[in-house]
Amino acid sequence: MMAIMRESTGIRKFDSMLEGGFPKGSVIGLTGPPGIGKSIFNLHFILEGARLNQKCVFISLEEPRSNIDRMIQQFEFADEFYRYEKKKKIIIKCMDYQEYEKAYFSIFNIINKDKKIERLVIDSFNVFFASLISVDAGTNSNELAARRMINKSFSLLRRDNLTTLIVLEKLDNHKVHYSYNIPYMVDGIVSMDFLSLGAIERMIFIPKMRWTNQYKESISYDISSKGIKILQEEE
Amino acid sequence: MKNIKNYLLNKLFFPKVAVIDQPGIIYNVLSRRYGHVSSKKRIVFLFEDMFAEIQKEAIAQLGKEKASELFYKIGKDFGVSFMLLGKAKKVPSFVLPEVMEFIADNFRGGGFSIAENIDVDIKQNIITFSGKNNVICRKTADPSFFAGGAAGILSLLLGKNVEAVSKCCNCPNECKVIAKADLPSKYIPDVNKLMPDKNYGQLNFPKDVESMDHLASFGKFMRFKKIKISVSGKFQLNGFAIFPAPSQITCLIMKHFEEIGRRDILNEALFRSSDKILDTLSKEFPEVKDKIKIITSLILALGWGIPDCQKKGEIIKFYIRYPPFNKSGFHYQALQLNAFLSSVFKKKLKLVELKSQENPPLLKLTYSF
Repeated sequence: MMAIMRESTGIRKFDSMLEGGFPKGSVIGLTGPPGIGKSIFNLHFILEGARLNQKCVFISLEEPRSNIDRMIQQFEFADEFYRYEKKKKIIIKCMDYQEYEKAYFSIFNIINKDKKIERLVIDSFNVFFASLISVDAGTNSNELAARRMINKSFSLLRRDNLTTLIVLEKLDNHKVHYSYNIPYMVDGIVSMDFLSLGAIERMIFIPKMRWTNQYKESISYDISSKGIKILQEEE
Repeated sequence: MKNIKNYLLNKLFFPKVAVIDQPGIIYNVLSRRYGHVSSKKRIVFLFEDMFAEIQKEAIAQLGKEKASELFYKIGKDFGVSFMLLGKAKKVPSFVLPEVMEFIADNFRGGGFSIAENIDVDIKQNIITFSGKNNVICRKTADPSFFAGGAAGILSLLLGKNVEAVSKCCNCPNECKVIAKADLPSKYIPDVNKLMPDKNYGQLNFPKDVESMDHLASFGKFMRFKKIKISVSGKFQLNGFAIFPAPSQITCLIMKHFEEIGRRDILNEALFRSSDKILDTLSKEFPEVKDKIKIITSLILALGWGIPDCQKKGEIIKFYIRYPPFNKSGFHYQALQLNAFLSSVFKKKLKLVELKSQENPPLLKLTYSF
């Protein structure tokens, strides 16, 4: 039986919850409320790829470059991150709302042309469809177009040596989010959440991961100057 | 033959149960595959210790006999109301064992651990519930609520008045309740008064509630291991057992205590037990704002609505969206919240205003020092 090749997430203890990392070539959805640390998770994933001499692309459709820089500079790995960016091992591409209509074509142009890209982060995947569909109106033709685009996106992302992390923001209207079946189409889901009960506690959970005997419980994590740290479970 | 019967009952007739859990709103849906009967029950979770404290205080103040009689009535009203909500009807006696087991399983599955064994003597119409460590009565040594509940449920199922007696010994290791149709009549519930309000569905199962995944919920409490399932199948919230019940239970408790003019028993028990529970849950958080956060998270996780707290000087206001609506109002909720707030501020607060509206569903509670 062929062993599944895996891509480390850059967070050691989290890798051990996944038998070593994400299955290579998979498309993984990352969900959680705003401010929970999804973008920081993305940074770990991208940086780890660069350390392994892989070409990594981070596409931000919501934050301008200045915000991304502010985020990176909070962490001890900032210098290392920028060194890899200089060496073109990490490519950061930020698109603002005026470019959204071109985003779809531009992103998949990049992926199609450069077969050396091994890690890709799209933050956030929902924004792809912002220009096409109106959440309030939701006409049939727009919905059909959106579904076609999603299906085509996934078929383009599924490439043997490309592992993709897509951020799935929860829309206000749950029905819109789930009517496009995105959680069913991804190969895995990493869910980050918090509970405020006196103090704020953060948990990370893997509800789905194909080809993997993933850790079934949720586990606490914290955020420090080193990034995301999985906390040891209490006995 | 029995296997075929079970198979047919399970596959064709027994309703499927789904639990819907959102921040502040929990309900279960029963739907049959054929005949398209579906019913919904708005569920709240209660602390076992609180309920036990109420019962123990009643025993201390009224005496064992009167307290047992009171809780038997509350239990029987609860049993009847539970069945009315489920749109249950009289069943043929040959399926009674399976139906009783199905109902008990539904209770057990929600952490309301009762009666591991149910024996039905169809000919004599005697149903025996036996087990150990039943929720609530394992702490009070008084199974009258459970006996009343069993009697209420069976009265609906058999289409005639059923009473129950307890034959427990060596509590909590040998629980036994026997229900029979020909026992002397103890209490006959008023079915008309126990029927759900005509607006029950509209008020308790709101549609298009905005997504509030950032708020606490029962499921989130489980994921964060604040609620765990013990080996005996009980839900535990930070060590305190909690159990689910249709939200009517609070009205029934309030109604019966008010009928005997002893609401003070309820007050005393709720304040004492709430203080103990909140002190334990918030022992690491001395700040008032953190304790209030814990209260609001509890309201959300236990299905009591979506709260928003505002404090200005000596006045504290709670706005609770989508509270569980019942015929008799919100007096129990107001009292419960008062008990928690009093624990936070270490002095009794006064309820100065209780207002509710149906559209949109909202409960406003104002307290002052």
